[in-house]
Amino acid sequence: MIKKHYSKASRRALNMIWNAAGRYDLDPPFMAFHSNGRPDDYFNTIIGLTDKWLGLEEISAFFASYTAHPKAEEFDEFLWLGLENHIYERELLERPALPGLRKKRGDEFFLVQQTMSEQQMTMQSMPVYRQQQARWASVTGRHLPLLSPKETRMADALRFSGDLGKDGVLAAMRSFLQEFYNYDPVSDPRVSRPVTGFRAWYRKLTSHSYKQNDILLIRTGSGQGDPANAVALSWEGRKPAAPTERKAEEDARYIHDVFGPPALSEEELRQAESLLCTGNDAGCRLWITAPRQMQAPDTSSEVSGSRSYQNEVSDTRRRMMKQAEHNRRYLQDNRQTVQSSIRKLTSELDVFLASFMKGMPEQSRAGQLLPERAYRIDVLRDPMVFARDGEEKDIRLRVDLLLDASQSRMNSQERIAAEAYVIAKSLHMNHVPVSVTTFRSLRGFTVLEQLKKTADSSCEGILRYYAGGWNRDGLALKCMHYLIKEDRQHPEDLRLLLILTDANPNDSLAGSAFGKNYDGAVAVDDAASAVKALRRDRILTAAVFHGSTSHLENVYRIFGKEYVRVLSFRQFADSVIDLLQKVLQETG
Amino acid sequence: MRIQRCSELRRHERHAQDAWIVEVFMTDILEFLKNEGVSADLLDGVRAFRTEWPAAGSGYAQRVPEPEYHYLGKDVWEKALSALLAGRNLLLCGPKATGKNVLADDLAACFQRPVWNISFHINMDASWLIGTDTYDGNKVSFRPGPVWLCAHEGGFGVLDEVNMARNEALAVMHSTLDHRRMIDVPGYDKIEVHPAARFIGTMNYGYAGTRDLNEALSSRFVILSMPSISDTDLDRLLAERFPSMKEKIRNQFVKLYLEIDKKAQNAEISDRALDLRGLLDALSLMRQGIDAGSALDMCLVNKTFDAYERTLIRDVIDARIPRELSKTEIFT
Repeated sequence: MIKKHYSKASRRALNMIWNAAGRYDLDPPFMAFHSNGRPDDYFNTIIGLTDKWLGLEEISAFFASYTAHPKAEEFDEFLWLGLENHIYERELLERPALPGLRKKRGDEFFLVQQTMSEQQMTMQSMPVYRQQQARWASVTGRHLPLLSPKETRMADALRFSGDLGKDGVLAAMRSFLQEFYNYDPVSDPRVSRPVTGFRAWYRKLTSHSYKQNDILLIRTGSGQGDPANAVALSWEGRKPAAPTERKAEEDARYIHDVFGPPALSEEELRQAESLLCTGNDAGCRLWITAPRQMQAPDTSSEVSGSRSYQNEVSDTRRRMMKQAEHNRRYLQDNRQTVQSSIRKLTSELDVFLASFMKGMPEQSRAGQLLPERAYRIDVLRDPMVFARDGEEKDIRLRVDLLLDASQSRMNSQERIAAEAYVIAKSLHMNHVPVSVTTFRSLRGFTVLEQLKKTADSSCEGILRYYAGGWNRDGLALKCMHYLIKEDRQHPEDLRLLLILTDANPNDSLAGSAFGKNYDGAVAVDDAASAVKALRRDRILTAAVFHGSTSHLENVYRIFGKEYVRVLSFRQFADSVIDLLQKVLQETG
Repeated sequence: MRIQRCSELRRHERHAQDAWIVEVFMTDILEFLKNEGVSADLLDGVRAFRTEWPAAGSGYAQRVPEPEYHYLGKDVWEKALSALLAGRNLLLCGPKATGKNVLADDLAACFQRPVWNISFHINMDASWLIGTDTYDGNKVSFRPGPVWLCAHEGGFGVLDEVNMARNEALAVMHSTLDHRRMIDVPGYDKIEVHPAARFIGTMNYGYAGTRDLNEALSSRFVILSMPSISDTDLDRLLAERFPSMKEKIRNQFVKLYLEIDKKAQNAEISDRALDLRGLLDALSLMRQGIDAGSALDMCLVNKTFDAYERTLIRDVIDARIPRELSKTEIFT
């Protein structure tokens, strides 16, 4: 349910790469785009084919080896030109359409060149531009530009032969940098070291002239001679740092290291924060992550920072893994109860959903004879004396399961994981798309961690549930509301947000600009207004409550009558089906 | 899955005055199966079945199909023939474009039985299948449904996309499909299912709107899992269907189809564009002189109505087949 990380254009570029590579599990480090957002079909095909012929892992490792160098982006450009020639020659026999695509790419380059202003010309890296000009002139049969002897040697060196193997290509890449830039990534002490502190500041100053060029890596056009239509090979993951205060940066880094990278881009997160983190939630931050594989607890190699910080992150991750094991064992130990709950909920849901979608009987000229109307045939010559089933209502239900994952759930983690598993599995078996997300608040961030995406057929990810942190229910609900509305792929579907909660919102960050704590009545009212907003947008919202009796009033204030209290796992299936019936029947 | 156009098994193409003159010699399907290497015992069984239940006697001889394509695949043929000869009903399961309906029609043609094609949908109910009361102007009478007719006349009932209907609607077929072989129509009569009648279900897991077939129904079928077409089979199909197509180009179309298949398997696009008939139609249009880009747009790309999905499919095509590729470049 969480909006995909990739925009439509990125997804299209990825598809071009995957198609050429012949595999869809590839996470390419490069994608090629025009500056207007249109993917560059030729270069994306070349990137995909690079994986096919050479394997992107080692090539990417080479590109990654010089990221600390001030001219890294210029090097990218040169080396991709070299790779382009190599891949073209290798693929030519298998893909007769390639010369046409290549020529089209060359023509586009010159169309842009014709309309480029002097200012734009000065903004680009001339050595790269000269090499591109030489390459595309030879491809399209134009007059070659006048090149200096060094440029001619560069152009020759960048014509990586199709006969080279992987090692040969890597050697050619290395030798190009050595010969023309006197640079060897292998011996560079800056290799793989993140650029931080003074070095980052210094680099920012010194690389200013090239920074302006960073979207002009490979120039092309829209075919209309649009000068703004430049193309960039974007290096995934090389993102500018946001100008934030040190503490906020530390917090963000901690959240990133513990929960993984966000599923939304930085820009999308900021947009969501500007919309949602207002009023009671002013100053809060959001962090939304997609399902991920359980990572190894030893993070010392991937997490930078002091030893104690590394240990802290590593420790947290280890606890997460341990809890996943506990959840799995709980499921195993109670497999009979779990299986029977799944069976029960599945069959009851099946019957309920079928009857829910079934239309009312209607009179017709054929069907089952209605004896009380039979007289109408003779008396009134009315043939409408039969009944047939009404048209089935085309209602597609999608369920989003939101689990409170705050510290207060510490003592029932295994049970919550098992309950979520039962609900998700039963819905999935009835072909109802379901996603599962947890929420908690930590260091001012409200973290929504997705355990199961709608598209996932497996529910195993739910077992990664663990409790820890605070819970800012209002903001979490607002965030889910935002994400559901952003999911424009299925606007007509009936949405149900089901929350497993103890109805006790509580956060360390203040609940208003006046410094009131986010707990008690303030927090409950905040959550209640978020639920109201959800319902106003026709998103059905209901809660499965297993908290203490003292919070019963809270759950009523937040969710109204649309909640069910579960006291034991055995009555869980019955309670949930009752709740679903109650909520769905109210929709009519 | 391997489909071959049987009307072109002995096809001679001559190019005269810009027109394709085609001579077609129909072959008996049993001859074709013999050439495919299908067991002689099974073919003898089919011949005995045909002798015992001649189509001419059914009153619905015009419903015996004359399929345009033949399913290629000895293993699948042998399994299907064995099941039907043993009196079992058959459920053909597999993703789109695996030849389920082609095989179902071929089987009816092979046994020379009339076919009732019943497309299942969500609003299907028992009366739709078996029959319903209606008023004919004089009295309330029973209007038989396709299952009733098929069972009565000894036809082959093709239950297309059987898992699109609700399981409750299908419960009425239990006695028809199992050892009882009968249909009891409340208020009317009980009929015995004709000994030559067979039911062939087709289904595709994972389509939007599909359901799991319940155990009661699936246990009444012999289930045959249909394999996806391989590159070799697709190449063979195209070579037989378009003998004048250049090998190098044919190879590109095979790869194009498999690339679209892979994209659909990875859920990047729906399988609307994964349409083998569409690819064959596109090549037919190209043979008529339409450029490759337009033909593929009409027969594959436009099968999907989502603009973004169309873009993705077009990207796959553009990376493989030049849009302006002409008839003379494709065919000799």
